[in-house]
Amino acid sequence: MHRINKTFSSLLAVFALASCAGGTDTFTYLDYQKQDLDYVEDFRVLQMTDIHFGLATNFAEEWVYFDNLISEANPDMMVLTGDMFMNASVDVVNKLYDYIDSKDIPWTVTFGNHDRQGFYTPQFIQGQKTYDKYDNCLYIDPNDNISGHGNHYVNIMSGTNVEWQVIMLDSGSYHLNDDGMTYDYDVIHEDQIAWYENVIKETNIAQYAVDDFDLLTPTQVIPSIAFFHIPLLEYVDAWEAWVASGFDEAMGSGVYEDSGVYHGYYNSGFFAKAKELGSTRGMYVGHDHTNDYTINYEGIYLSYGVKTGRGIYHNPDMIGGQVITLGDDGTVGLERIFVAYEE
Amino acid sequence: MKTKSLFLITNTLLYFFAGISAFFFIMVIFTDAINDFRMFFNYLPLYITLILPIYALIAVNRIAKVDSDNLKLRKIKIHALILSVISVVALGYGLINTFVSFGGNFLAGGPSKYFPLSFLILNLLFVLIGVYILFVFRNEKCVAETKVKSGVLKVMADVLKHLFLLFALYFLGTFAFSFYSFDLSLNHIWGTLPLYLLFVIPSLIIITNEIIKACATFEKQKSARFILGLCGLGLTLVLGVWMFIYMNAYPNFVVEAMTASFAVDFAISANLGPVLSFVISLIPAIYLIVGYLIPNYIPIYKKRQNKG
Repeated sequence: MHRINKTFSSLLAVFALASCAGGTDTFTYLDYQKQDLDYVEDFRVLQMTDIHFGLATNFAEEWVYFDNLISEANPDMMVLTGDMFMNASVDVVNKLYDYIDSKDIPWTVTFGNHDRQGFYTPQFIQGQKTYDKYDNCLYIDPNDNISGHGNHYVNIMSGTNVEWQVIMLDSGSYHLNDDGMTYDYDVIHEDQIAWYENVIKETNIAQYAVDDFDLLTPTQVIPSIAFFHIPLLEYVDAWEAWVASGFDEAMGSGVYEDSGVYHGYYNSGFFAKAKELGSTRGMYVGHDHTNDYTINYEGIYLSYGVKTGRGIYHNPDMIGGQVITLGDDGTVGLERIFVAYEE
Repeated sequence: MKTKSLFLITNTLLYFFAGISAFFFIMVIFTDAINDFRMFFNYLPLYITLILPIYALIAVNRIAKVDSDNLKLRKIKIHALILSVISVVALGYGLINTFVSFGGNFLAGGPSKYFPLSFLILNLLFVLIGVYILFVFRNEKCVAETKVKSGVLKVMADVLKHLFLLFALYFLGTFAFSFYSFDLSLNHIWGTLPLYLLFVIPSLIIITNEIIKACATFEKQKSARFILGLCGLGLTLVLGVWMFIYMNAYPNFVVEAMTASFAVDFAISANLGPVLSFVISLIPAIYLIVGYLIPNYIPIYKKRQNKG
């Protein structure tokens, strides 16, 4: 009996510890960055998205493809914006991350709706331990109580000044609708938006040594770009605005070939907050493999990345990556790189 | 008794093995399918290897149901021959494919860290089992028997039974693989627990039923199977209600803690898996209860009654 009681107590202790594992609210904005990067002129961020490695991936062919893409992009930083995996195993995840890290270029990730569907625990794919073994990885997950995992940022520095901020947000995966039978896609939640606001404001307050973010003029605010997986509702508005403009080349570029814009299930206000703060110049997503348009909508570029590789559905003429160049005057440039597989 | 025990052990082990194979087969071929079957010919030996345990399970059960020793021996020899031939072909193909498609890399990875080596070893095991069975019975003579034609209803019942078996195996495999994907945060442990248990109920009923059939007399079987049906039904209803109550309180718990278990659901954006696992658990329990209450409508009971 004593032994049973002891076992039961141990089990209770495990449950109690596990329920506390969600973290506390004592994090500051500084806890969400692993390390700074040095700014170089026209800093090049290569966005790779929707790679969809899984149990049926031919790695030998994929590495040739990725070698071609990365050498053509010549990036200063690489960002994987979700759906790197679908029905993958620990081995598949390690293979891709080992490969990416071997390029000796700083890189980080944010998750898509499929990344957690694999033969591994959610803690493996989104936990810090998996990423800590990589020297060039900038991913950080403080295990806080904010929605999603790995909401983090990277400061790109000119000396002691933050020249640019790269913000990574987890836009979640699915949301079960009220009918209890169908799923929609998740969104960037209100607490993440509050986190984003805090990071932007605190970074600016620290840089300019002011008491209040509102004391800064719009031109002073440190520019940023944001990466996440699932497009915002505003991607639909942006497309409609571009159509209405007669596809004005000064406003946008790219195509809309997918069967829709598969945005999150409601508008949580991320775009409105970004507009209000005036820092974020562009938002870069994945998700819809055959949409690759970028449109300047109300002063912010809403952009689909170019789908990387041939995992699941794709247009063979529309795969590769997208390079976002960060100018020292706070402007962003865009370069789509289309790479075909070697026969 | 020795034969019975051997059958039960073999059957139970094969059942678990077939469950894991069924789930893994569906996962790999589903992943291959959404990638335009680009790896189909590379993975063909793997697909064959994963089907073999299911084939062996069905074969063992078909052999066990035959009353005539002559026919039993004949079936053993035929199935062992089929198993040997298929696994030899798969092994040969797998070896050639390793050099042609993976550049001789026996640890290319993909479906498993040690792929294709792990599956080549598994194939070799099947070859050895098949050849061993053929060797053991090499001197036993058997003659061909006239095949009794099955009625349409019997064929349909057979098809349905095997279809159900595949679902039960798939869910058992889902349970087995959940040890890889279990949400260690335990945030939704009270929601995932009934669902994980529902995954194993159909298989538990099937295996227990086999044990009853092998160990009890026909009269005892009737009541034992009825009790098994009642227990299965009661447990399924309790777990089902528990799961639905939790789902009502935390609608998104499957998304947050069990996405890996329902890959197909998320591919089609429909929350079917939990309901399906509940329904699949109900079927064998109801089958056993109905079989006891109105035996004339259930073929297996009818057949045994006529015999008995």
